[in-house]
Amino acid sequence: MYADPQKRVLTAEEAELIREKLGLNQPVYVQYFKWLATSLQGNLGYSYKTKAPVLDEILARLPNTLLLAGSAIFLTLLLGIPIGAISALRRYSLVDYFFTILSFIGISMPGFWLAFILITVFSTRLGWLPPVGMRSYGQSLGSIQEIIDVGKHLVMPMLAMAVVEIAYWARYQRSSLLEVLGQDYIRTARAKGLKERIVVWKHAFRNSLIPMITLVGLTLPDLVNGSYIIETVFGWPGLGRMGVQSILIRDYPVVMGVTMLSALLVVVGNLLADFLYIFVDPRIQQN
Amino acid sequence: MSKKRLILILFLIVSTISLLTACQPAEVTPETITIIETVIVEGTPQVIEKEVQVTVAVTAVPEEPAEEVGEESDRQGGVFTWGMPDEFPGFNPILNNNYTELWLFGLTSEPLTWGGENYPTELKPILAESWEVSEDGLVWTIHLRQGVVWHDGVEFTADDVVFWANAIQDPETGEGAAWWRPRFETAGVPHTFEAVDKYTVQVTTAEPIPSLLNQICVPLIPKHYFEENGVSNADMANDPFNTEINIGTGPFKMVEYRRGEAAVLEANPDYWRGKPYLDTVVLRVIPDPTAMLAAVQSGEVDWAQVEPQYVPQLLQNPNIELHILKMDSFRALEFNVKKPMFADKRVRQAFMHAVDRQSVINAYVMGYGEIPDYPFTHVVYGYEPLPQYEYDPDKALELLAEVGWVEGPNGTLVAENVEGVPAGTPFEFTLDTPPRYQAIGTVVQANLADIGVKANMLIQDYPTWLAENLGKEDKPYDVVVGGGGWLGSDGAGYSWAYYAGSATNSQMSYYNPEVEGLWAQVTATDDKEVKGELLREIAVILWDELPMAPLLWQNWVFAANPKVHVEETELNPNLFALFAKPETIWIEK
Amino acid sequence: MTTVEQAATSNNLKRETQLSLAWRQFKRHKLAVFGLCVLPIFILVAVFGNWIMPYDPNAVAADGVIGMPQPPSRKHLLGVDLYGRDMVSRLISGAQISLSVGFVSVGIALIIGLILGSLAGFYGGIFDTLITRLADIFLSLPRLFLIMIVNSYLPPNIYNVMVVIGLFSWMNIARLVRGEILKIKTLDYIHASTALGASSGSIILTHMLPNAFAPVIVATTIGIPYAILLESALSFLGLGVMPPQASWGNILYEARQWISVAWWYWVPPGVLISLTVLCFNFIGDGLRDAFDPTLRGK
Repeated sequence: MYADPQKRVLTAEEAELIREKLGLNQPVYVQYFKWLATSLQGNLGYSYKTKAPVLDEILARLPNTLLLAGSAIFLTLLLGIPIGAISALRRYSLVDYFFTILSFIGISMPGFWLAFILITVFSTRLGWLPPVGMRSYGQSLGSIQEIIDVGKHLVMPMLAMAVVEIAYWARYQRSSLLEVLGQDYIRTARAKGLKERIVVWKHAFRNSLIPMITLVGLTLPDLVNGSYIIETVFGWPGLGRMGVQSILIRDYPVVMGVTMLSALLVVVGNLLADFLYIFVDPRIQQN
Repeated sequence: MSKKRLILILFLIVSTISLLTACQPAEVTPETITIIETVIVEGTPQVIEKEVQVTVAVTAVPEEPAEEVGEESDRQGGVFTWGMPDEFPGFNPILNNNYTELWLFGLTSEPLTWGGENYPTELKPILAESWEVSEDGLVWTIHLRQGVVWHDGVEFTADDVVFWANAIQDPETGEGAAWWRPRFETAGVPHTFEAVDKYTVQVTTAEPIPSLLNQICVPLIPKHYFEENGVSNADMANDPFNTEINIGTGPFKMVEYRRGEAAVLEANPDYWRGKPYLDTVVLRVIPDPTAMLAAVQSGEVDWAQVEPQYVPQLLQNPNIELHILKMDSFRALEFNVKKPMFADKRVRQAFMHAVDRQSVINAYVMGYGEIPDYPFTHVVYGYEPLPQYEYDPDKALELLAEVGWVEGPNGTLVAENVEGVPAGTPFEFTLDTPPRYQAIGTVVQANLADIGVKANMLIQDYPTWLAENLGKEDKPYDVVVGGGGWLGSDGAGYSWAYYAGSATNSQMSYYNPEVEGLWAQVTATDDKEVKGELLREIAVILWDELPMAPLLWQNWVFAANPKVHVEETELNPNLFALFAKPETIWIEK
Repeated sequence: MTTVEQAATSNNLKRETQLSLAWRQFKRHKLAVFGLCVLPIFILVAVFGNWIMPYDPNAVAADGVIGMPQPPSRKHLLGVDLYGRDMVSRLISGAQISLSVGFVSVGIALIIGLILGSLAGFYGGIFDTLITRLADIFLSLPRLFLIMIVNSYLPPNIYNVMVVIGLFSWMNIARLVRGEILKIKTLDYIHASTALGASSGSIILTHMLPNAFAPVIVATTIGIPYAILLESALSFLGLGVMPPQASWGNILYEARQWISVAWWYWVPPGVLISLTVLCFNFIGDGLRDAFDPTLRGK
């Protein structure tokens, strides 16, 4: 019941004028090529809603989304890989079963439902974390307090986004390490009488990381997907929330811009993964 | 980077783009979005006596008398955070009339006068101090308040007024201004605005317009900004003044805009009514209603409009005070009367009997609403309750049987000899429901199912619905959960949106020559009494014909931090600014 | 017996032993067995839902209360929702929707995947390039957003949700099928069949697709929970299954306004989504282990 939309009937001339102004009376393909031509020059058009350049709207929100997605990736690497490695090394132990079941649950839970749980526990019941937005206003903000404040706002959306990814990464890391441990050169290394620690960490673990890089490429679209829902639930002022909002009100230039950027983020992420490959895997370097 | 990957990237981008563009329907005019949400302030204030806001303070915190805590020095300072339910479409007051925007303009910008249908007192001078009209009623001399400065330090003068009026009158100025334009002209002839001296403006109109100052209460804009920056009227919409900054004369000035996040306002120390108590006002953008609820509950915002559904949970929270305000706002089932199924008024009356409107109110606003007994809201001139349609499914079935709908197999109603409907057709239709009215749709649907009518609910956002139906001769919809707000006391709002002009023009495709004649008489007179009588005549006809079945009159709920004091602000939900005197808001430390 | 027939028979034999081997392997995967035991309960409840529902899931005010969710009672084991509808009935009705979205949309994905995969694998060349590129693109795009966009233009009903999810989920299956066919294409008995005049269609159907059976079954099993999660996300954003039809996702959409006061409104649908998805994932994992010879015996 927010806006009480007052229904106004536009006259045919008024509507025609607006259509002409927005170029909507041209055939779709003409509109498309016009858009393509201008966007290649860096002009993504103007938001129907705010009249501001779409690029401005996007650039203002991009850092927020990158902060959220970036910290989710960081957390994923920090927890996913060690958990996977431990599971693999202690295969079929209690720890392994525990983490296996936990990561299955993580993969199976809808992110927004996890968000509900987090909000209920940490915000409603315990009152530790703010449930909405990216920062509080109203305190005298020194730079350190401000960072802490943003950090507090970041915790829950980051967790809600990262849990699924941590689970995936742990599963992949586990099977990747298991596969490497079964390779001949590991057997050779062990036969040579190398210390188990060196065999595992220097040979097996490092090699098991190489296939993980591919996962980066798969994680990025997932994170972008997640951002639409998680940013909406937590009122995070990022691209995802803007994307959902603009779909709901049919703000086409913004929808196009957000899609472009999402795709671009994914492509750039994949490129980074490729470079990482070259960096990590000496076999590729030689070619 | 390999060639393969380059190709992939290209593919990716091109396919994304083409997919999107292919989906773009050509006929939609998304511009309607900003135009439809509007507050008009016009007409006269008399009826408001009945409309005194009920400020229900439901909280465990005892109200202390303002004087005891409220020493001037104690009141100074503090930050007030206000949760905004929508992103800001723009900051130029002549281009925007979305209601979140108007709340912001209520803090930063000022019109010449505040008049308007629901303002509790007579026309109130703001930037105009006094005025007189010539005897023939054509020439107005307006004396401006002296010594008022814009937020950037330049003095406010008559030149600003002339520039502002001409910008609104210029057809080149963006669509938002088109909305105000009719108020600055009569019969197609624009009023002339002239600066007589630095503080006097003369307005000449082609015909006498007694309510001129009620009509032109649009916040002013500074001429010097647009001149110095070489902004033409056509460029106004995309200028920073609209997309990221605002300069006004109000008690607060906008100092920072974080896109999608918040607008930060600071006290204007030079404000002409005196320096505000607050240091800072933060308007935080929280578009998701659930997130807004969470923000209110956790104290992240001090003031926010919330869905009435949340009242029970908010009541449990001792740190929240609720203000429940009566609104000029209603929800209704709008019938497409061109469809043979709904052409007969008895079918529409049957719907009124079939829907349990108290349940609708319970589900949609937790009981914080009233069952309408009039086709307009209670603020319209001449309102007196009309005989109520009681909830009575049997009566509904009776009426439908008269039209020719009889009980068919498994309890559904089937056409027997209904005009325009082939015999044997089951009574089944699409009920368009905007997402936020889902609760209403759900109850209506269930109630209709009880009498054998099948309503297929289609949840569709409002802009989409408008794009498909607006101004079309044959509108595709059957029934929509609609309604309106702030349509005012003089009936004008109802006439152009719903009941007059032509069937194409009317939202419900409804046209009745008798009603049309009465509307013409309503417009022709300035006498409130006469208007009231005429409007009542119209109401009686519409209450019988029911092109639109009013379901409820609703209230607005604001949740507030109990430390915030708004007692002296003349809080009024029917006023666009919400707070008439925002400088008097203060916060206990 | 001709060589071709011999090859085919041995192929069948091989498949049989492969299946029994796989089953033995599968039984060792405890979690998968757990999934296989729990999932049928869900499916049975969904299939016979209309008979076991205590109330009409869409009947408003089953309890005479509207406007406030009511906690569990003896009459309503999981309480009633905002409109006074019985939650148990709605959850059962939601199970029907969520499971059918899962199965149907993955069915659509399977058909598209099999066709495109076979075309790419069997004919190669431009077909192959186009289809694999297309799959790459679809895989790297943020799928949810595109589904939302496409969905927002279609009349919102459950069939469109199924179709759209299906249209965006065929990529893995197509890739797998293509890979298997490429592997088999060079084998002698395929050449022999071609020489004997078998049509390409029958070769694909009788010789090639059966070989792709194992990986495709795994991919399908893993695709179903993904589709269920997508549906719940769409419905949660208000773009999926239309009320009053209940789906677990749109129950959560309605319930999110009540998370701080009515746990019985939002906890059960979430648990059910998670549990269903979990079962499918367990089974998928078990199948993958069972069909993967490199893991056998470990």
